[in-house]
Amino acid sequence: MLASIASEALSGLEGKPVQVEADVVAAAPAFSIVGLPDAAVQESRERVRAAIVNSAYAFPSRRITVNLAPADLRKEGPSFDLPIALAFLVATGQASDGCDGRGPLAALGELGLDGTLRPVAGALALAESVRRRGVRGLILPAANAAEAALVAGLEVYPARTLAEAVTQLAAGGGAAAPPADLSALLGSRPASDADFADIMGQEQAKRALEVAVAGAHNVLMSGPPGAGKTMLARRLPSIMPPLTLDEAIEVTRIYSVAGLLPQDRALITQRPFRAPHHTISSPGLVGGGGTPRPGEVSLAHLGVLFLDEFAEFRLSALEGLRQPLEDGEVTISRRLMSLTFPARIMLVAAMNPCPCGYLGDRDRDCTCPAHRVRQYASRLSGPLLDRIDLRLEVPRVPPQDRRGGAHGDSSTTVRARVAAAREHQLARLAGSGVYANAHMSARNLRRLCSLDADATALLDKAYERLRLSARACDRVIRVAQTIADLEAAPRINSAHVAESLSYRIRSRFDR
Amino acid sequence: MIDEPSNGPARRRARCIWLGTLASWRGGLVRKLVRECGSVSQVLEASSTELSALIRPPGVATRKKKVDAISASRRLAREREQHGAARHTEEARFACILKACPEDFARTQERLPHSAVIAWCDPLYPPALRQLADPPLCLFVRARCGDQEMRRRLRVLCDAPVVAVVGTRAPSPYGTEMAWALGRDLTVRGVLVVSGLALGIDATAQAAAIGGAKVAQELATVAVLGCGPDVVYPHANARLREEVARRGLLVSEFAWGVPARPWRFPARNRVMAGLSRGVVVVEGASRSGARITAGFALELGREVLAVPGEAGKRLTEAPHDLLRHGAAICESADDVVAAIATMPLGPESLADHFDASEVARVLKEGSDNGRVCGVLQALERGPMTADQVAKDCGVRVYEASALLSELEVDGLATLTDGGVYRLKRR
Repeated sequence: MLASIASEALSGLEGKPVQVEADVVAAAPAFSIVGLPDAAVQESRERVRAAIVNSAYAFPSRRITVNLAPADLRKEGPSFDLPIALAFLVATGQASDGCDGRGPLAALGELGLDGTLRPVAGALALAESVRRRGVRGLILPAANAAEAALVAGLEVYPARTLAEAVTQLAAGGGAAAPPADLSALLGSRPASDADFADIMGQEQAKRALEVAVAGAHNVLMSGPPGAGKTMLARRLPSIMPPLTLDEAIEVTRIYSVAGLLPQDRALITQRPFRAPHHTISSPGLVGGGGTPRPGEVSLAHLGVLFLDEFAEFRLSALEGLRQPLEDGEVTISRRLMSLTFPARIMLVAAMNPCPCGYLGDRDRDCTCPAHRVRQYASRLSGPLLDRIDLRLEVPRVPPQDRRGGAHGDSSTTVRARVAAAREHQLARLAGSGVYANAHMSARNLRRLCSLDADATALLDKAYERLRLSARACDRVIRVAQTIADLEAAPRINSAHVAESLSYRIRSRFDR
Repeated sequence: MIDEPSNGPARRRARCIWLGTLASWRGGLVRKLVRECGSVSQVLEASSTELSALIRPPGVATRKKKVDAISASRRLAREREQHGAARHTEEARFACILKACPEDFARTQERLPHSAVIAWCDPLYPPALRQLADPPLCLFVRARCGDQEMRRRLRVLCDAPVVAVVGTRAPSPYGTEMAWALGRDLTVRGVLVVSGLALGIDATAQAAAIGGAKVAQELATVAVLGCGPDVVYPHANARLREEVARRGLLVSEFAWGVPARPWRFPARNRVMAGLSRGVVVVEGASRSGARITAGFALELGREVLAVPGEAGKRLTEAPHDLLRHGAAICESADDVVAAIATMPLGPESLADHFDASEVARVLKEGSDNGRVCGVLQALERGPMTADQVAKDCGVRVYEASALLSELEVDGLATLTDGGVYRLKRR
């Protein structure tokens, strides 16, 4: 007898419709799965057999053929266990599918040998795809239910065991999980324990980061060990505008596919902060692998990617950052497919000024020979540095500044200023195709930024006296525009340009 | 080669160049010859049989030292091997030149464009160098100019008061500033600045000298090199080297194509000390090339000056040690000029870089005079970061950043490593 159950396969961040067909005929006993299954899907035979027997169903000695259609799509992972088991049970007449006339249900989930259902990765993306293809409901492991319930208009039927899934399939659903209360989920964001006011001293760095967030500029911090670079970077998400619902779902989808969604939270409500170690490989950073998986740049989508010891990263990994920094997404091409992961990040890089770390420090001498210092800085390529608008030195805080209570504005105050600046910015950039100052191209810059006479004069003088390159000038204008936006000023004046000029690192990177 | 009883001037000159080239491939050759013969002129008069008896034939003298187990790390062994390979090629070049006929060889050496070879017996040979116990037998010179101009520049090198400004390759911002000020001010006062075109202090002083020299000035600065004058070393200074060739002279006792090797730099320092009336040490660790130059200068009876720095820093070890042993203190070009007593000075008085009119102009242009003034006063107390300036002047940090940048653009302050701003000296 023949039976068919709808399911989904994961491809990048999207689900692809898959029909699981089972054919049971009286012939020499065999159990084969066809339709480009990978090793995990092949092994599914053993899990399905054990789960069926241990759930007190019969496993007759027949010839069983399972086909995963379409046959040219590569199927991976254990999420086909449940649909295979259900299709088998329907084909052997031990279960019935959707006889209440409302249409069939889709199913996905991993089976344990005792018939329990285990959660799968990417449930949100899969559920969205089920919804898109017009299937009304989805049976899936209870642990994935909250995540799938984020999809509006989809009936979600959680099941803890194979037996429960069979019951739900037969009843055409039964008790659907309540749809998620999105606003409540979004509202229940845990209060961040990292606040800008925690940082003692470093006023210039704090100001620079405020500017950076307001204009979505990438930042490079250079300073001796212990200056507080990591501490500053960690507090960046706290001054970024909160995630909107759509953004939260986008981030959640990526985390779900990467299998990094926390058990107790269905929706990621805080901006991601990713700080990979500097030994990370290129596929680990930008994404990749046999079946491409999102890398750290995608996991930091709409958040902060913090690269400490920037100059120590592998060159191949760093050069891979160029595309995401430019386009806000990563394209990974393989023989059979080309996948695109979103990667709109704010890059925050931190490094020591030289190999020993103490170049320019007040109290300690740098022990590096001159050529080693140049070598260290020259590891970073020009095209990569061009995408970093703000560079600043973060010196160690002198002891007298390390005392006292409150230090500057709290994150909430700064966040309000940033939000206002972003609004101002969006109004100015409306219709230009960009949504942040950092993304203005050189041509946009001439069109969208207006400098007053003093500002132009100052910039010209700086160009000559400080020997700025043309690109460096563009960076100065971009940052000055953000500073003007923070003040809600209609034009860039000389004070904005002057402040912007101070966010650069002496000569070492201005080649 | 048939030896005449007395060598004619042309032959003496050829022998100078030939021996000079030989010496650049084998260190200490001239010293040995002078010791054996008595003086340089006696070396030039010696018969070729006498000479060939004195010159150790080429051959790679690879004394295989027994290396004890502890120091025989792989790196050391590799370095020793590379060292051996370098010696090997150098000895090969040496053998090649030794076989050549001096006259023919000398002719080949003088054929390059923009170049000259000054032999010990030439009138343009700097007289100060003759005071060395083992003077270079010839100087290889390069400058991007015509023959006439080259001769004029060499004449200036012979006559002008020369001061060597030397120091570390990895200076502090303060050292860089002092080297810059000294290079510029000495040049403005008509002193010829000589240095080694190394990274750091040397390059800064020479760049400043070129900046300070008048356009019409014949000789802006002289670089004494530790490699052949046609060899670009260090690469980071290639542009500056080109500039020096355009406005000054590249001088070396080493022949065309001789590569830079560690053992050539002390020899170069000896020539630098020999050329100068005074040596100024700006910054340096206790065992540094600057210290070596100062040592040669003391032996030759030249003035040694040292720029004082912060106590207890590694980079002030050399100058402070020199000061402790009686070197003159050097806080500005005036100290140097007084020490070498080179009167008359250059015609015009020093154009003050940080003078009242400049400040006045900035204050007039600046929108808020009070705050600019405050920032300048704060920086006068010492180098500061933007945070410190903001605190000192009681302004917001972004205002301080903006004011500092404006001062920087106006040339009154400068941003150095570590985000520290300092006043530009005069």
